[in-house]
Amino acid sequence: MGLSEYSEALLSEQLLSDKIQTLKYEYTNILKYMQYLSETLFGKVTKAGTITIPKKLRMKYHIKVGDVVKYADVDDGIKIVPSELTSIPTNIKEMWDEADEKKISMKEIVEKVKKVRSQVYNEEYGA
Amino acid sequence: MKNTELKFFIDTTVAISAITGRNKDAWILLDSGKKRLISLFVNEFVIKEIRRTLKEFDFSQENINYAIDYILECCTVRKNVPKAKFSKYVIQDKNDIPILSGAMQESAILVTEDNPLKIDAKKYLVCVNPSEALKRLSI
Repeated sequence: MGLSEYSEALLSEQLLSDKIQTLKYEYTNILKYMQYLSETLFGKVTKAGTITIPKKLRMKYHIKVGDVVKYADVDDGIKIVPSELTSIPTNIKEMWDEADEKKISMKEIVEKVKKVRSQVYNEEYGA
Repeated sequence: MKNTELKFFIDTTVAISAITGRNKDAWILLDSGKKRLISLFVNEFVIKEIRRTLKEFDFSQENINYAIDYILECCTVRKNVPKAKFSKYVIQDKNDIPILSGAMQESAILVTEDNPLKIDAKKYLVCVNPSEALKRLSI
């Protein structure tokens, strides 16, 4: 192999390496974008200007029908905050989630309190 | 809007439904007490019931303690009414008398999720559910 052929081979090898690097970079970006798309929730604004809060977020933040949310105008968009939930401490949120998991209903609460009330009454005041 | 002149006596059912997130209105009511927007009351009987009921629902001791501390921040705790004063109340379930008499002693509106108690208590005082309590406050 002559010197010029050797140089050309080196150059094409370098070009190939550069091309591979570019492809790798693009592939990484595509993967990142796909991850972004899979994690990001989108909403479409209707004629009336309404949007639907995705179910995943409604469940996470305990937003139910009739709840009021606050809009905050922040630097990069609009932040939606459940207005009554801003001050819920972590432990209480944990209890809400646990109650969701245990499917505790109002009926169950009333019944359980009735049962406990009978015991506590006897303890405090006698039968 | 401050409504501290309006006093509410919180039944155990309301405290539990707020703490477990079952009734958002109950939570708003409790939270309004913490923010001193309204005056909330319970008695020692209610506190004991809350602790016992949360235990029955298998919540951790840490969370139960936290919930009780939180309720103590939201409400003023009164002593229990002595049994000698129970005779003037004639209601279906005598076990409810410590709650009813507690609200009466405080001249407060009784807030409960228990419909039979609500009906019975109306013979003696104003008794509402959390949603109706909030309507009274226009919160």
